[in-house]
Amino acid sequence: MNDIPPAISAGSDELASGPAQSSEPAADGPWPLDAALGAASIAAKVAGGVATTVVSAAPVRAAGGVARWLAQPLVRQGHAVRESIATDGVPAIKDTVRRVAPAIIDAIDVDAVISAVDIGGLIDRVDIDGIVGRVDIGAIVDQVDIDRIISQLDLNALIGNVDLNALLTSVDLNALLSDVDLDSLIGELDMNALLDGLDLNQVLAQIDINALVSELDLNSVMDRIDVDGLIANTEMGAIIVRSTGGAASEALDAVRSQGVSIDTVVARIANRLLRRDLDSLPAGPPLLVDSHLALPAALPVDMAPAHDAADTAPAHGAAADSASDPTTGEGPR
Amino acid sequence: MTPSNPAAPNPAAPNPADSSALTAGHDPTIAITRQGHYAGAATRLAAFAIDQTALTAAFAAGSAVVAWALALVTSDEIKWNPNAVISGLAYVFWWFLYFAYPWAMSGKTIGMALLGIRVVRSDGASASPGNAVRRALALPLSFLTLGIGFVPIIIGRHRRALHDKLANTAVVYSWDARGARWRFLARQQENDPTVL
Repeated sequence: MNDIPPAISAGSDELASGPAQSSEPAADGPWPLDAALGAASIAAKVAGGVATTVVSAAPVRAAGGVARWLAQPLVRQGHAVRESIATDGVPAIKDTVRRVAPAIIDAIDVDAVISAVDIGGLIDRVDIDGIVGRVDIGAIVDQVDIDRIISQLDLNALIGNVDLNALLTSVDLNALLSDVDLDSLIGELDMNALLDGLDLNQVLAQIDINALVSELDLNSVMDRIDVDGLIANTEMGAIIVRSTGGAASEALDAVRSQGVSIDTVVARIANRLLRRDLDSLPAGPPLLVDSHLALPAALPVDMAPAHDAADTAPAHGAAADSASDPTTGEGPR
Repeated sequence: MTPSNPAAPNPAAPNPADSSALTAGHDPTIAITRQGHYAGAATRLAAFAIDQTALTAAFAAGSAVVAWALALVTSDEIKWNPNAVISGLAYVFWWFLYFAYPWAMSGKTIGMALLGIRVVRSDGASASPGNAVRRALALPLSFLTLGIGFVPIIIGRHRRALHDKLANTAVVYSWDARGARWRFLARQQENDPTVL
């Protein structure tokens, strides 16, 4: 209706309200056209009224009945034509459309049509949020039978198709682990339940302690132990004193230590007088000095004898208390 | 027990000049490096002195007991005369027994056990009874040579005296210096917990 020119609209209103109610004719539109249309409408009304009057008259109705009787053959012929059109014409039209439509579609340049459409503008006009907002996602999800979907999945085949090596190589485990809060993870662990489910006896029964110990280098393990620090930082010192302490052991330790010191001094003087190379002297019997050197701590510089370095060398180092006697299996105590 | 260069200064090692070190006794650290080495003259002399004192005291006590028993039986008082042949032979036999038997059994007499030394074969193995007997028999020879037989203990390459060479033996340090060091450190820590 908005496309109707304003003059026609004004004419229509005038027709509805009648000429007497028109205050003034439209001055902006084409007045000849409006005048012609007005005359035609008045003529149509007049003709309608005349026709109604004429049709309702008795002679006219009698003439109509005669005409109807006379037109019976024509009516039958026209009815037959209409029937033939209904039965034969419609399929023919459909067949025609079916033949013509592809040609018409082929003739249409779809690309040109699509290019002419402003897809961006179209999408901009679509209120996606509104559409999504109208969708009840929860109801849709509720209708999905996850268990059934999973039961129908062949997980083995699925996993078989996955290249785990490639997957793992592409995973940055360091970054992954850096994001893991191990403290909270461990805090959530129920260690008691974990240990309750663990059969330690069975685990221990499967461990070959002998093989384990035979592969263990106890000497290197002992070398790594900071016994001085252990004694200083634990109650071990007090335990040692209480268990092995006493005036007798303390006196013995002192006498023996001082004896060794005096021997060292005497030997040093003698070797200096004899101008002997200390490194060339054997430190002890070969079975004892070739054993593992058990040196718990470095000597202070002011206490270390001049040939200490030589003593710690394989040819001169010794540990009689840790050496085994190859003939008796007894340590040289 | 941290393996390290012995020549390098170690802050964890006790300083003998420290007061706590003095109250804890003598630091046996240096002795640990001597374990299994040939024992020196001072230690061996001290051990021999202890043995000589012990065996003489034991012989005197034994003689007194024997004299007292004989007096009880014979009602005649017998005095022990060291110049007497029987007493001399008894003393020599006791002397031999005192040294030979412990050496054969454990390689150490009472004095040697106290000083932490031990008789071993020249290669380091335990001394056999034969080594022990030969050593006990040869020991007087070192005295009979006016002590010259002991000189190799000081100047000899292997610190073996005349009787050691005759018996194919040697004397080595064998006491538990490592345990002694731990005890020393423990005493030191107990006296002054901040020292280590």
